[in-house]
Amino acid sequence: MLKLEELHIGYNDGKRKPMRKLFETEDITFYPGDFVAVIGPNGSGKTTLFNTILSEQAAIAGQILYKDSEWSTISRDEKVKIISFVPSKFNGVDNLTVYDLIAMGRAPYTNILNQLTVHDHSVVEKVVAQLGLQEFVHNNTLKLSDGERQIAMIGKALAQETSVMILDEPTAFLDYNNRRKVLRLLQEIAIENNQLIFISSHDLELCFEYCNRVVAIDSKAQKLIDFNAPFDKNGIINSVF
Amino acid sequence: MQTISKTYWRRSGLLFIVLLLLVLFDLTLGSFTISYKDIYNGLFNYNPDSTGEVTMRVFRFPRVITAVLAGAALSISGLLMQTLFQNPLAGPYVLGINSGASLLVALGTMSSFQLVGSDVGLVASAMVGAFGAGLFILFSSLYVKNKVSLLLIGIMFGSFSGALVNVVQAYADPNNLKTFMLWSFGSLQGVEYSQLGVLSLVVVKGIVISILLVKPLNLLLLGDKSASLLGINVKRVRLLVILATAILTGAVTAFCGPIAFVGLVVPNMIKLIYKTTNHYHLMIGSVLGGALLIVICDIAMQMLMPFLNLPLNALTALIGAPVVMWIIMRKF
Repeated sequence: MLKLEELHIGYNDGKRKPMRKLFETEDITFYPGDFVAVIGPNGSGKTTLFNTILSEQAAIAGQILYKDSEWSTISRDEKVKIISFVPSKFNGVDNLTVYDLIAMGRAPYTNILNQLTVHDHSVVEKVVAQLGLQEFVHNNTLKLSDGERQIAMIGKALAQETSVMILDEPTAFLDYNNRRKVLRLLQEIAIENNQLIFISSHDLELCFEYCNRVVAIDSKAQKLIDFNAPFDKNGIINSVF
Repeated sequence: MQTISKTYWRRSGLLFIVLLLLVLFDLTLGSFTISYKDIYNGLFNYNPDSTGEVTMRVFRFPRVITAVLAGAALSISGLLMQTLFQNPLAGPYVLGINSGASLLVALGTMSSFQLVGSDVGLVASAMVGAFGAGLFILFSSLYVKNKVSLLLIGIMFGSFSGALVNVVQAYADPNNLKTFMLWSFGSLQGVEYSQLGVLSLVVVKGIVISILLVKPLNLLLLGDKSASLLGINVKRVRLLVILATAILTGAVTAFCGPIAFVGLVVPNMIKLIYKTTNHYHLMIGSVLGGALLIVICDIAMQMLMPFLNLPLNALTALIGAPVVMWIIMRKF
């Protein structure tokens, strides 16, 4: 569904300097239902890869294909219905309830005054049920625990009803129990909703346990290496770190 | 959810009724009391021979409508600034946007450059000043990530343009100087019946732009990146927010002087009452709450008039400064 074709990923640290290449990919195709972990040392380019897929920054070379059409030709309004994003930390906003937060995911579909239709409300209700957030629905997002807030943010991305979902280090600020809970939830979502989910993470053990694919950034060779489950843990770790 | 939306409308309705009653009461106040019958006749059945009706039409009605418009405009500007900079202490006055408008008004009224001959020129120059100050703050916000630092930059910008105003004042003609000083105290009496059209047109325009920005403002609460990935063009929205603020603040500042604190206090109060982040309701609440606050200030000024002539800016600061201190203690 989503195909990276010899994509060269990098960034520039100043306007006048040339782009600095971090790594390049061969042709890699991701399918609906894949739960993919992107791993690699700090600074290897996990976030840069996500930003490139999210069109927040340009690739140096190569292209991304979505269902055989070139990603860069799809308009922004269409893209936000295809791909959703969850940042690694959201601190909560006073007076913003979990329900309202999840409803924000409907924004690409609502009118200019952001009014929700009956259908939008039913999507939000469905997401709440799927994530088991019923008892928190009317809670203030400022007063949730980090784990609950992260799950509510995943709810926002689910309400966006996209086929691809990207989470930047979703477990970085969570305790061990919540890490497992969030990853198990994402695994279920990938299968149940047939969504393609990307996460970046430093919790290698947990990624090997829950994800069905791992792509590792090898900074020395400047390559992105694709692994499928079952994983050869030591082999992957030795080749990347 | 439908029921929750209803409670917001109920609150807005209540504010509206209180506002309407106080507006009517305010119309009777002044150097002498006018009956409600004269108020009605002055508006709908005007007879130029009746003292009550003339006073109503020439002095009271413009004063009270100006109070309503100024309050609404300044509160919406405050709400826009608070969401744009994600800072409960932001407001057109604190961020120096009023000062930008004041600077150009001072140049126009007191210097030998005759930039402004008419009301429209005055309003336009105030808006240009406000827009310039807004762009400056927006530009600073890209470099200064700390919320308090941004406020300090706004205050410094205010001092800087205040100093320039002082230089202009030092060379000004005494008559112009007096006019400018009275203007800078803040006053609702400066607007004539014929000018109401310009003021209300501009304020309504500003409010319409703001209401069209409801969706981006709601999403900006999640941060720039998340808003952008929900389909918001963040750069364009930022500029439009600054533009709306400049229109609203500029118009009010041109006619009523730099009124402090209203834009800061009212949105915070409304957030406390409404307990929502939906800007659609927050804007309606801010319009009503802002109008209410300035009408109450006007009522207080009119009732104190026999004993004490209180400038509007003194009154808003007396209410506003303690509220700011309270917010700082609560949120920082």
